[in-house]
Amino acid sequence: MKLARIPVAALVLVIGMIAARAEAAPTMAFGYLVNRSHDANYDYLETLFPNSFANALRNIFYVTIIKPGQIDRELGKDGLSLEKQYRPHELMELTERISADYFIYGDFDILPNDRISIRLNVYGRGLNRVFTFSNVGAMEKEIFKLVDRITLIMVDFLGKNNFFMSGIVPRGSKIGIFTNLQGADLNRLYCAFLNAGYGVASMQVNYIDNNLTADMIESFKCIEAAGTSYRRVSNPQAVRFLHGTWTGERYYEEITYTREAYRIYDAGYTAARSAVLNGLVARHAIDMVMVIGFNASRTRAWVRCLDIKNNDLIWMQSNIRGGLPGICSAILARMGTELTRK
Amino acid sequence: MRTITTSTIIICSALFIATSCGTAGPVKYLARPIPVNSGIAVIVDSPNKVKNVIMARFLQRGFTVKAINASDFYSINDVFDIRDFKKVSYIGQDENFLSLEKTYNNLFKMHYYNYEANKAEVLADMRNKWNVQYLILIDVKGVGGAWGRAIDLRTNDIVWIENFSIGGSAEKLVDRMIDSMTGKR
Repeated sequence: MKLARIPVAALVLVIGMIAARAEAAPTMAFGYLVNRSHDANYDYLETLFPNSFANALRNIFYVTIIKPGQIDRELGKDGLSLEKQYRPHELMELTERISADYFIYGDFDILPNDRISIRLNVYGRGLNRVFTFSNVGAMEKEIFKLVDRITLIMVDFLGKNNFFMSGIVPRGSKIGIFTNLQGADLNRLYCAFLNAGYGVASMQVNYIDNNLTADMIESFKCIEAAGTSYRRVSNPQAVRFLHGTWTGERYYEEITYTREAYRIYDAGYTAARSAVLNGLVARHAIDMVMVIGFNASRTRAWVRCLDIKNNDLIWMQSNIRGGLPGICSAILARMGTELTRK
Repeated sequence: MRTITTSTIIICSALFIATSCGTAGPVKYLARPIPVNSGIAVIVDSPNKVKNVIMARFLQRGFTVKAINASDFYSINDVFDIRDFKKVSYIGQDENFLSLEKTYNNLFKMHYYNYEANKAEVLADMRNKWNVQYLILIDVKGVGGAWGRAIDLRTNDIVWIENFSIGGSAEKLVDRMIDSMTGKR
């Protein structure tokens, strides 16, 4: 009888540990913000900014913060130091080493008329993705307002809805929609956009079936762009295309094909993407590409919106809930309403 | 004749049941009425006998129906099954898989975008070579109910969309669709 209690106690303990882990605050580490202005007078901002972001974030978000100085000391134990710049694929190892869920780094530049541009990269270790965005403000008058604004953008992104929006989608814009809906459901989505005054390109809608499933549309979640982007990180040093006389002809063909695909769609993805998007725009004259992914039961959706002209991810949001009509209404209301953030 | 009637009744009953389970309100968009004497291509994924009923209604209502079938349209899977790439990525070393996931996702995405561009070229050919002005897509057996769409191939604009939740014969359903797209209803 006593023996039977031991597994129960262990189970309670394990459940307690899991619950505690689920509620644990995410750990966010801040790297330097590199001074791109070539004016050493602004070098002090390289640490002032990350420390300010860290403090501001801690004040409004349930999070454990690691500042640049702390990271440097931690890395120093292994004879390393915090670098000013990292290549994206180096971040997995760095975040593991300092036990951080997120690593935030970036740069700033001084613009004409006493303005400053800050670009931040938020690397999430769990998904191995980087969210990059920038914001501009007046150097002297609103430097702390700029810090608050950027902090709020981070809070929105790190929230359960992964929300980011840099501008509305003006009515009258022509949108190329990619979604995993089909048939009557696809009609409902298109109709909602058209009746709301948006132009919708006749893509996907020009065929009876849509072979994109809820799983397959997940491939569209990451959007790389020149401005704001949400990228998956890959490690070029981990990719191996080993072959030799021992591999055989079939294996050699496969590995050659894989290597070529890797060359085009990872290493040279920017060029491949531009060529394909240019072809799409030439045939459909679209202003925006919008990806709207639904779960299999059509009760939850996520959105990505790419501004083609400015090559910029202008909106992303997850966890939009409701039935299909409700989700359509929520998307249209959001995309046409300016954020009131100052 | 009896077979045609039976299949149309089955299809219409199925769509009545399906749509009566739906939750949505009316879905209709008409940018501009489609003139009845237009050259059209009707794409409908149904048994041939039902297809005949549908085509006949369009012809009787005065449209110039071009001989283009749903099977003339290729699907992305016919051209290149890019899902095969995922299998290839498994064949490589284990450590490759995570690194190649970005490649796979980008490859899939770009081929999907490309597929849309290629479809636009096929549709331009339909317009230029066979004088098809409107592409009309109809489904009378979908789980979500019957639906129709029309695209003006001169501008690539969507000009008509509607979902239908009516019972009755296929002829009546197609008449309702024609009335809707021509602006009579």
